[in-house]
Amino acid sequence: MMAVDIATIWAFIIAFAVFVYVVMDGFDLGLGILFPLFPAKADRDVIMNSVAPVWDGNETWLVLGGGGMMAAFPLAYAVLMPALYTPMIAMLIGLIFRGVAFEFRWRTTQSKRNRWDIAFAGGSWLATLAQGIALGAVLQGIHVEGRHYAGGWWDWLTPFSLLTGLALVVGYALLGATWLVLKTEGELRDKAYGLSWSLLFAMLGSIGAVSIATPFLHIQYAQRWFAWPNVILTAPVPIAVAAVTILLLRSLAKRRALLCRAWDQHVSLHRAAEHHHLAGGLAGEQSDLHAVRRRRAGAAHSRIYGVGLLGLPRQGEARERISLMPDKQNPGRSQRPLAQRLLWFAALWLLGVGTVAMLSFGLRLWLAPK
Amino acid sequence: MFEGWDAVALARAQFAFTMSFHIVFPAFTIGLASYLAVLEALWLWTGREVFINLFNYWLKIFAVVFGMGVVSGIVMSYQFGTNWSAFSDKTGPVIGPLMAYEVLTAFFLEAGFLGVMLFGLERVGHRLHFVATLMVAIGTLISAFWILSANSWMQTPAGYALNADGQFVAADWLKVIFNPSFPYRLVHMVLAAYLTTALVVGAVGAFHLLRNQNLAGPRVMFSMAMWMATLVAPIQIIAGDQHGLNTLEHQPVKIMAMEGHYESHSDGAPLILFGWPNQSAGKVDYAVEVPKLGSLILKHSLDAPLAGLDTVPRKDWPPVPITFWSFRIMVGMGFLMLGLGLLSLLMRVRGTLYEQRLLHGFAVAMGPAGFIAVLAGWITTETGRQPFTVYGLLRTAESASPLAAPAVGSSLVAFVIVYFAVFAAGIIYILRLMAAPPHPGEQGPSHDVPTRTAGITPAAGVTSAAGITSAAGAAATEGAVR
Repeated sequence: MMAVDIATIWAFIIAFAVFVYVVMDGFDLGLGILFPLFPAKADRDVIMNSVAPVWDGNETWLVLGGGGMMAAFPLAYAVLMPALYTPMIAMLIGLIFRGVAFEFRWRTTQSKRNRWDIAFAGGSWLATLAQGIALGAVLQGIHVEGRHYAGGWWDWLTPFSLLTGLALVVGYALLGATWLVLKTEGELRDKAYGLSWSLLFAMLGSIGAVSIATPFLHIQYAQRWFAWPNVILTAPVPIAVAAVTILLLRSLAKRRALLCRAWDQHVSLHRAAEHHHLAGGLAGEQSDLHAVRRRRAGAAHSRIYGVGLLGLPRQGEARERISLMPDKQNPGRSQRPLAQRLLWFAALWLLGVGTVAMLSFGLRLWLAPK
Repeated sequence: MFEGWDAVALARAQFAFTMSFHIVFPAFTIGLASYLAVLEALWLWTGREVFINLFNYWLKIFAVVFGMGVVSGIVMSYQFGTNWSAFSDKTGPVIGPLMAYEVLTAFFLEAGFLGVMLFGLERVGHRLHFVATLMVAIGTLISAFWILSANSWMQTPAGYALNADGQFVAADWLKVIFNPSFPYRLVHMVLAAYLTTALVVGAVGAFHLLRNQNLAGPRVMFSMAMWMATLVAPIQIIAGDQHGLNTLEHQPVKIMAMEGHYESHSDGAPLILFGWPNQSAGKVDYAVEVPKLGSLILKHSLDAPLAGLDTVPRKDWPPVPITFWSFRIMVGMGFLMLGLGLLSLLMRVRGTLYEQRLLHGFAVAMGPAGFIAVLAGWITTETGRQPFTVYGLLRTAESASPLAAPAVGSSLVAFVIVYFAVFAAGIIYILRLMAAPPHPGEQGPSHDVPTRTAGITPAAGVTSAAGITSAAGAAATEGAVR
């Protein structure tokens, strides 16, 4: 067993911070990447507002990653940062433009608002590209002498790092599109569904391209990936990608993102609670009114139903009532509980790991019997 | 471009530039967050509408300033690595954890509750919203605690040991955190943040009083700000004096630079009021000085001997002209603030606080004084530490990254262009918000744009996303649901 020391714990903390950062800030950077595709001002307002209260929290993970790395691995931090100088500076400048846009676009006069929309989109593109390029630059290796970076300031620029940069743009854009599926309704959501389709395939292509290119960078990658017993750890990754892809394809085909079920519940819950409130606590019996409301919601104003309430007082009660209500628009829709879905996912993962482990073990015995 | 330039000098220019822009925002948000908490507490306590109007008025400004503080702060946290990698390598085991604690204890607290504070007044109930405001205010103070601890350790390193790789490692964390200059610096900076905010609030109040003396909002905020100036300015001068004595004990060379004491004085050093420090000649040209007063202030004795820079090797000299003048600017601002506080007290006693136009004009002019003093103070303490990054132990020239001058030069130019474009726009927006007086029924940030009035996604973002992301956010949401 690997000895668990403080460095290992910190490595996990930083890995966790980076992971959470990529997922969380990936959503809002992705929105910036998709911004040019949503020219209507009303759409843009909704998109911006869907992340306005959380974006700075998301970026805090980036600060934790940097601070944690300086604290726990100062030498790595000191070597990597100068090596990634240009991408890092570009990322910081991109984050400035997009970060201030959240408040600034409300403070400028209507005619000039587009300026901060451009800053938001351009900043998101720049920051994402820079992050992807930085990742590629680390993967392809950097020149170190003693305790210092010893390369030039353009060493990071290679076809591979550009590939990882573009791949990350596609990945974040997919996150952004699914976030919109999760958070909005109506035409905006329809468009997000369409984008998710094409972005999903674009991302699969990117994953494939980066995966094929990586083992050719250094022979060590190929050795590590395909050698026993490391293959136990690496093989589940493509299987998990395939599994998640199938899930996402299924959900998209049913026009329902994986997480979206919970969200649907949440939205209808909000509506019901609103009625509950308006109708004096008779939400359970107001289903006809609810249906009228929903039909109207399908029209132009539907997107304002991308709502969750911060302090919905009767959420607990409302949830029970709502889950009993039949969904009139999608009668066949099943509402599998979250735990069941997670179990299914875990089972799939374990099955994948098991299969690959057995296959590799068999392959090994066949190739080099002892 | 930049081929023949000194990469270290460029890196220092870049750090100074980005840091100077950054410090303005936290200095304002630390004070403003506490002011907002006070306003909301007063509103909950008295129920007077003017307090909630002022709260919502300043909350909009807070949102803009906070955003600029966040993005300029991310730059700072990465610049240690990009431009000062040797410093990061050597001091990372000490400075890094302090900054990681700042993120874990302060930033997540702020980020978790900021969404509630900005968009949640009508959604989570007033008491819970007050808790959110309080948490953001406390978060800014915790943040100040850790970052000033890290800076103070660089000024007066303590509790460390050196390992085989030449890295500083912590031997005693309590001594690292509570190093000798930290308590003084923390008090001095937090008071400075409060004074800065009070001066801005007072200037905005005075600006609107000059136009209309009967508006409730400007009257209340002007009165509150002037109380703050009256009470805190003298305390700040005392705190600054104590901080100076602490510096004399631990960083005597910095005091020599601040005072312009190139020469040693065996029986009573003069106080040089003004003059032009001549670094190459090693004396102050055109000096206007008061004999013996320097020793009286620093040693509390007329004839106490004081060593000068002539006792220090020239290669260890700080850039005296910058330290000397920035110190005088800071002190000058401090006494102007004291003057404003005393003048307002006099007018208050006479009962003409809201009518005295001259006082209002003075208060408007003093609006940016806090920022000037904060910047001058930081320039004093940071240049006074030179030529070291860790005082006496690690030289600035040995701290820099192995970068080519063109790389640093280009990034410096990029930062200058971007900062002036972006933050100038931000300051214009803030001034625009300040130009309109707070009116009855003032709405917070969630209501001043029509789409947000519909209660759209901000709340949704907090409710659902916070559940996924941070514990703080989740706690906020959980509390919100109950």
